[in-house]
Amino acid sequence: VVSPQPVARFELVNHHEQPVSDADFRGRFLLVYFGFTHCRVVCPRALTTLSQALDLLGEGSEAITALYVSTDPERDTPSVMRDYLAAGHPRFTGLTGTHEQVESAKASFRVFAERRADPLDPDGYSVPHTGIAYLMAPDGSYLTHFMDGTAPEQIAERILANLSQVESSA
Amino acid sequence: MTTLLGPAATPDLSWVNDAPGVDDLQAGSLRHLLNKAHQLPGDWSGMDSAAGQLQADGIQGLRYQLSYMFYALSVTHVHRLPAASGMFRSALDALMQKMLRPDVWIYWRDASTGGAGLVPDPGPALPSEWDPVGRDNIMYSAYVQSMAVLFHHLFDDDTYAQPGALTFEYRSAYWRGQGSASYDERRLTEHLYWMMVEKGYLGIACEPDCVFLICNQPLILGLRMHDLVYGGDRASEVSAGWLRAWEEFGGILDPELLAQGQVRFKALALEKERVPLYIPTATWDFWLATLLHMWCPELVEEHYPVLMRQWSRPGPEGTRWISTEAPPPEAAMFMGGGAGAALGLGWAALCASEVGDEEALRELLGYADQHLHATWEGGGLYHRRHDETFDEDGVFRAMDPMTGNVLLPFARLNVPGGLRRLYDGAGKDLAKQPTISAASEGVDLRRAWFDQQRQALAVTLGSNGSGSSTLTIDRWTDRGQPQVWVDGADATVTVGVDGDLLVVAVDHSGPPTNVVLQW
Repeated sequence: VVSPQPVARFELVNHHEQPVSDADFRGRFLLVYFGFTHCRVVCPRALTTLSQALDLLGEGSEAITALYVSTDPERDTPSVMRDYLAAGHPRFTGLTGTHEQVESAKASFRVFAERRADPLDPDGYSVPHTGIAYLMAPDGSYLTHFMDGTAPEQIAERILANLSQVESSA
Repeated sequence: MTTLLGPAATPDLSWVNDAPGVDDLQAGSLRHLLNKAHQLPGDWSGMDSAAGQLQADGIQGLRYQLSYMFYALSVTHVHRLPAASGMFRSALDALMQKMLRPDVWIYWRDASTGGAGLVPDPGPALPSEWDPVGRDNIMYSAYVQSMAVLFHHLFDDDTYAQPGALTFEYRSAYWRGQGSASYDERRLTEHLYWMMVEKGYLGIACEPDCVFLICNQPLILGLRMHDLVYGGDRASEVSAGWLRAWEEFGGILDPELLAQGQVRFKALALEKERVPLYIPTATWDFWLATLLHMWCPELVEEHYPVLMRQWSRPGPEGTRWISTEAPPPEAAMFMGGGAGAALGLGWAALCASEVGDEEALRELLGYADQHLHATWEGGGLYHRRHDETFDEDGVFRAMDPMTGNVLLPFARLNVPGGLRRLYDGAGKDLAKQPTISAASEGVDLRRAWFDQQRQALAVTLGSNGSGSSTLTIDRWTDRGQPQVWVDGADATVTVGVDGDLLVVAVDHSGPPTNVVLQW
């Protein structure tokens, strides 16, 4: 039976070239965004917004691991992701993997991403993708998501509400 | 039972006649929809077409007749007879139960294997599936989902939110065929919402690889109902995403025709090939326009006049009909009507009613009532199936079950923006108002309206139900005992209390009789 909601289930490689799976993050809240480092507009804007939201949470963000999962594993090697995130979005850990691993992670999170010809891209293609950030519970289940365009203050407020709810029911 | 009040000196009740209700023809259309809803389970009489696609995936299929009856009755309840919840609740529940029957969805076992005629290279057959809402098949799943949550919205009734309330089960004693899948309205909503996300909002396919624009609109309605019941804003998110995805796909209109001042909507996208296709018929254009009007009225109203002008043909005595331009052969299978289909006229009439084009609506219904086999049966008015498209004089005479049973009654009962206002949340407070929860058999109910300003429930009984009519009124106790008046020649009323219910017995004859209960 397909889970109607996204679930954090993956086996990938982090930007330190270490294999990781969802099991490695059990006990942590996850803020997960799928994208690709050649993305010209959507990803930089989203990662900036999400980083601002985490900044607003202050100490509250310590319970959260922010993950940026590549939808373009062909170009997004661990080192490419490490350099990209270190330069602009250091709160995020990059995850990539084989094509199959990425497809499996996409299916678990129910993400759309599809390679298309793009004459503006130096390599001739881009990977339009779902503009959604997922907040996942420490057990890997889905809590909520934030659409692109949501203000950082609103994201921070909703993250805090979800953290409080999960912690109070624990 | 305790008698509360008999007839008293009657104040001016003329305001009652200005309240919404149904006239003779509308009452006939409503009765026909109720009659169809209450046919015995498995009795699909009067619903099959010349194309013989009753239980298949064509557009005369059961799921479309049932779901649009459901929408028609919902719109009628909200806008015309909002204080008659009992009658509508039982009919909508009956339609929902029919919708879950395997007769309605069993086609998916075969259709899930793919190979639609519109797909140039369908590849090898996909696995046959028993779960009719698991993947693709939005032409069924979105209707089930929207009906379930609309029911919840209208009646504040979580029947279909219970675990397993939406179960699809088939077991044969004669061969190895069996399947079962279990959902409830929230689980199904989540599933369809995330499937839409996975598809980049372009839409979920009907038959594999075929993403029709039309069948993704009921999902948007269903998400909106979900937002109204449970909170959230998924309908806005998905509708905006859908428009954006189609803009990236070249828009939803044929750009070349648009440049020539004509209007044609795209019908579908081939998902794998990423190619848009057209099915250039009035049916496809008016069907999509009707549904888009729910959440995107400006776009529809901008293009509707051209659309109606393109397809309209003048009929005798100030009537009009709709051109029956044949679809290309590869698309004909999706039409499902074959010879005798009047779907273009049916969808045009419904679209006219939705955008508020009273002239076109009057002329189309006029043509149908004069030339397309209008029939009274069991107190209901419908248009009987007729398999010849034109008669010997070249007059369009066709009628099919979807049009005759559903679309023309829907068009007659709809109000301008009826679907749009439903989408916007109309009906959300109905479950808090005094309502007729039951009525004796044969009651000819023409009006059931709770006037907030007057705190009065206005009921009009038509002459077809002359004699004794008994109405049971619920949700009144916190308002105290009402004053009761009857306004009709030789009519008398007796009101009693039976537990939490008011029982109103009216003896009446002749012209319509108004009964008013005022708190």
